[in-house]
This record gives sequence, structure tokens and C-alpha cells, in this order.
Amino acid sequence: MVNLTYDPPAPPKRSESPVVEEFADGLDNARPSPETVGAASRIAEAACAKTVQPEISVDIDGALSFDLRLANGLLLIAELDADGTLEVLLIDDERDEIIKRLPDTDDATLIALFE
Amino acid sequence: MPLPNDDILCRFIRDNDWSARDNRPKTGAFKYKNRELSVWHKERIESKGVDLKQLRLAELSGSGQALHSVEQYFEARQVAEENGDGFEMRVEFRPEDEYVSEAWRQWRYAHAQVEIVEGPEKFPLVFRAYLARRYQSVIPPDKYLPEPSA
Repeated sequence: MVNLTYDPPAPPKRSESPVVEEFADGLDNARPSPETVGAASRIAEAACAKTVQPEISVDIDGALSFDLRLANGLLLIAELDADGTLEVLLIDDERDEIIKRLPDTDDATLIALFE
Repeated sequence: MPLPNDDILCRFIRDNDWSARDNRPKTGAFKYKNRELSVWHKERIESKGVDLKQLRLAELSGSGQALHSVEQYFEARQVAEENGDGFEMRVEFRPEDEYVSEAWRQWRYAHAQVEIVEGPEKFPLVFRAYLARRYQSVIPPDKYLPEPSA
């Protein structure tokens, strides 16, 4: 006699961050891929560990927005769109100068800027 | 009708779009539809004896305000262009019904639109980051106002 059992697939891993969960839920038909949600989680985790009072929110268009103050005082603004596009701006507020602009980068490059 | 450079426009700021750390709007505050940004003309509203706060209806309840001159919107466009994200833009009164929901219909004469005429499909991050940091004045959303002292 064959014993048939059914193991349901494990549910996709949810982020521990409510704001990343909100991003993962997507808007209308624009739901980010698991890879994009993974990147969002890694960025959020690193931002919380390495930046000063990180502000992370979901924008009206569903993008995940990072407004971060680095330890060196620079302002770092990053937006992760549901399609996985990640844009980063590094700004020196006092000199009113854009130090770096990365129009389409990846989470590892962004996280390296937190150091 | 294009607006003069020194006219002041109000963009309402929802809770999520306010940086409590830096006491200013975030870049997300300057998203609306991809190529359009809905704003209100301060002088036109106030000339009727109405405070901008009275427009905080429906989803704008409790929102803050970011006030910019028209010129500052064009300065933001210029900074975007200098950083490789150039586009053509116009700022004009847009009282058409399609842009004004029912709750704001009575102030439709004072509704204005900042719009990309030619260029990218949405306002560049550099453009929005400028507006988030350079303004005439800002008022935080109610949630971030200090508690009144007893």
C-alpha cells in the first residue's frame, strides 16, 4: 500500500518589517518579485543597523522609499520601485551638493554606502 | 494659463511623506500621477478668506503643507537637468473637473498643475529631492505637531 502524503509548499518568507510587508503587498497589479522584496528587506535591515533614525515608507505609487542620515552627516535618499529599479542620491545638505547619483543600482552597492 | 514665478503653491503632505527626523517633506510627497503634480494656489485660496487648512478634506485630513514658489519648481527642474534628468515642464491653472475631486470642487478655480510636457514618465528623484529640501515654508502634518501645553 502506498502512503500518499501532501506537503504543501512553504509560504513565501515574510519580512519582519511591517513597511517591507506593505511594499511586498504591492499596488493594483504591480506586485514586487520575491527577489525585489528580498532586496528591500536587506536594505531595511542594514539601514536600521547603520544609519541615524532611518525613515522608511511606502510611497503613493507603491515604491519603497528610504530617507536616511548617514553617520557622516550626509543625506541618502533611495527609492526601490516595484519593478526592482533602485535609484540612490547621496546629498551634502550643508553644501547643497549632490555627491553621488546612482540611477539604477543594486542593494549591495547601496548598503556599502552606509559604512 | 501659466503662473507667474513668484506665485506660491501648496502641496499637501500626508503623514507617510513627512520626515520627523529632519522636519521636512520626503521625496514621496511630490508624487501624484507620474507626470503631474496637483497643487493649490495660495493667494487665490486666501483671497477668498479661506485658510489652506480648510482644504484638508477626505484623504487630506490632518495633512501638512509644503509651500513653494513657481520659480522653485523650475529651479528643481534645472537641478534635475544638470544631473542628467532634463525635461520640459509647465505650471498652470487647471480647474478642469477631471483634476478636482468632489470634495474640492468649490475651490477648483485655484487648482494648479505642475506637469511634465516632454521627457521622462515621472518626476525624477533629483527634482523631488530638491523640493523636499528647498521651500518657502512647511507645516508638519497634525500628527507631528507638538502637543499643546496645558
